[in-house]
Amino acid sequence: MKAKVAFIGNPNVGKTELFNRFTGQRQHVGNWPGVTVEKKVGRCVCYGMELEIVDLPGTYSLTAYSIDELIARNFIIEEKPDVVVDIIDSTNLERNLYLTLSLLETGANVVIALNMWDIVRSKKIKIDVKKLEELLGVPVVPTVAITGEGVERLKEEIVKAIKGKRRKVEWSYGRDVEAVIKKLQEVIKKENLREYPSRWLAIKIIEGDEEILKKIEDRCKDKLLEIASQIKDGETLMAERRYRAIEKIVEEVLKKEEEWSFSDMLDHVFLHPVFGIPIFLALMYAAFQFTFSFSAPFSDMISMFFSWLGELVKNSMGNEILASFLSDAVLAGVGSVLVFVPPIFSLFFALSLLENSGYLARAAFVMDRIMHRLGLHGKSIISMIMGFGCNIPGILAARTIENEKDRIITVMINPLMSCSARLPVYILIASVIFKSSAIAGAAVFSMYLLGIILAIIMALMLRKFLFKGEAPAFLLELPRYMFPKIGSAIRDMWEKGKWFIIKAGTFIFFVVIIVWFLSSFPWNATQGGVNIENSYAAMFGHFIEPALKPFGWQWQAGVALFFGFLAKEAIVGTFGALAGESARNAVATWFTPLTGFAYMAFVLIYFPCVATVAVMVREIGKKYTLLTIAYTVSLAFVVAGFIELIGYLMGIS
Amino acid sequence: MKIGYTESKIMALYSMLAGIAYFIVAILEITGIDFRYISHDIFGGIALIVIATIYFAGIKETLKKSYRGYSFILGGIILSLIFGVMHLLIYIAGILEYAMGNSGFPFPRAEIILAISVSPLAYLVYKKAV
Repeated sequence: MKAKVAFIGNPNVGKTELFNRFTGQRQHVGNWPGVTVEKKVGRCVCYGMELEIVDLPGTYSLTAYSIDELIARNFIIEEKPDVVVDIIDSTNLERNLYLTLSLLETGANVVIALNMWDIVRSKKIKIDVKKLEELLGVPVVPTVAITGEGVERLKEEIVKAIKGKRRKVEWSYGRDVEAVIKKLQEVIKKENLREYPSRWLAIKIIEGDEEILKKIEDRCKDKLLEIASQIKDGETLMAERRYRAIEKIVEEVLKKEEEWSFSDMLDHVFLHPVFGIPIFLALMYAAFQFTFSFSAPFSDMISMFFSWLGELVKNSMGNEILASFLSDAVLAGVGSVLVFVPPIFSLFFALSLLENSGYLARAAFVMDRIMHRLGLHGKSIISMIMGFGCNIPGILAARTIENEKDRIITVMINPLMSCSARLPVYILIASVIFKSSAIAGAAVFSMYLLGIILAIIMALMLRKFLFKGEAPAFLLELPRYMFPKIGSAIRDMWEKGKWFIIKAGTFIFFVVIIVWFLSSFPWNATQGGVNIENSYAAMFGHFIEPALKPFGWQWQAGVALFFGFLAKEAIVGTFGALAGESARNAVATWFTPLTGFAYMAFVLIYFPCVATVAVMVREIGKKYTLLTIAYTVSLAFVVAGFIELIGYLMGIS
Repeated sequence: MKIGYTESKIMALYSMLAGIAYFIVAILEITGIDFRYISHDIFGGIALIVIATIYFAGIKETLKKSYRGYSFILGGIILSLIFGVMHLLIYIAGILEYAMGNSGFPFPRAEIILAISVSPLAYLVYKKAV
């Protein structure tokens, strides 16, 4: 007798070890049809029965959001294996039972392997296996895959399950939901949709599962959707009801002394519905305050070094043009960019510490509560936080978002996340226009907040007018809290920050040469770059000045914005090259606190850099990239104007 | 659990005092009263209010010897230490600035003193509750 058995479970529950225990060398590895996901099939003989065992991809649920989930569920629904072995990490019943309940909804013949039983024993956790069997209506076998403990009993139960029929236990998901499920089941049976288990199909319709809705497109879909519409936000509600059912099961079967781990205790506070978001904002503030204030003396050292070198070159060279080129272009321009190596590295160091400690994943979870209500996908937060480092990886991170609409919205708002290339501009201007370093730090932090607020507003507008629909819920595995290792944070910081040094030595170098040429020539008219008002740069600056005049910005600010199209760091490079010796002194004469702050906001919003635009074209196409450019430029004018108006009304100059 | 009722009472009292101290410093930072150890820092002050509130939030449950209460104390301590270490590093950077002749000798911010003053509580919670 032959039978087909599927192994399923969350990732990292010991599924592969158990599969190897069953099949030994008798395995065949291939791909699932049409996709590059690995398919492992093995054979074994148990109690005279030949079993073909299929190792399904690790998955947390049976929704249709990822290819792994889809493969697993299609196999169970369409291939109808004789038995599905659900491998559970018994130290984490609550999380693993979500998949179990989803499996039971399909009507599959399930056998549960409570794996990692040795850890349960060592942690003195008591699981009432008999009670669990009774509640779920399926056999439950404790196993230790790595030692083989319990494997023989599991084989025995699999064979028994193939031969016999399971006792059907259906969990109630609440009166309201059950009433709708019943109505849907009646229609499903009437319309002869027999290829799917009726209860499972009813639940999927309530959840608005797009894959299933596509499949029943021509078969009473509208009628079913009309009944399902009695439940609002079905997907979130069903997840909530499953977890409620799991909570009840766990309460009955799990007996352990109430002892919270370090992670449990911290999660109780850091993921708290009230304190979670204020804590996130406080930690972000700490990261930016550290970035701004800790790096200051190191930036000053670099600045002093380049000033000294510039003077030395100027005084020791005979050729006036060459001396000006080396001192005002190369050393002043590149030096004015390199002084921002310390703050950028400090920011990456702080973010690495947060990431390595396990907090950053929690930040995504905490912010998801708000973002989901605002129509953004939970995974958008990860993309947005990555955008703080650089918009390009932030945009690429959006690839993990399965829904096309959500992905495009996430990519379109990512340029509003203040990347580290914009940080030098904020620091340069804020440190000059605000006397107190605490206020300057707060001004820099406010740019990050402004970016987040604008991104939320834009996401809401895009969702309302361009990409209608609701963002789906998402499942996120939270890593354990760990004391961050300084060495690995330093390595991370270097890996993420070295591009800035490379860029300063290559791209920015060429930009400052161009700016130097434009600001020093015609040589005689500018008297060797001294009278900059007669330079090509001034001509160009005066040409675009009318567009910026209402904001009270000098033509130099306009020229810098123009080069900022190429890369935002080029703005400080341009300031350095235009100012010659001290960009700080020059900035002090170009901006007042109000016009400087508005300029910072303008730099935050006005245009994603050229590299970001190129990636956007690849990720979301020309149409949406052009739309992003159009809205960012318009929004920059509106926000900068608004800041100046408010400041003017408050009597700030 | 290894925590006795007296220890819980000590933790709750300590937590309350820490919360009050953070709250006072927060108000001074927000209102902009420049004092040796305090700078005008609106966002910094708001962050300290968050820490103070977390200390307060744990008091009632700590008296009941509940992990919910200890969690808040632990969360408060971790935030106190993060802010304390951050300001200590900034203080060191300030001394470097002084050494380069760019500024006067800095005063340590109150957050450093507060972090040091909650360290006995940190020890107690770590030893007994974690």
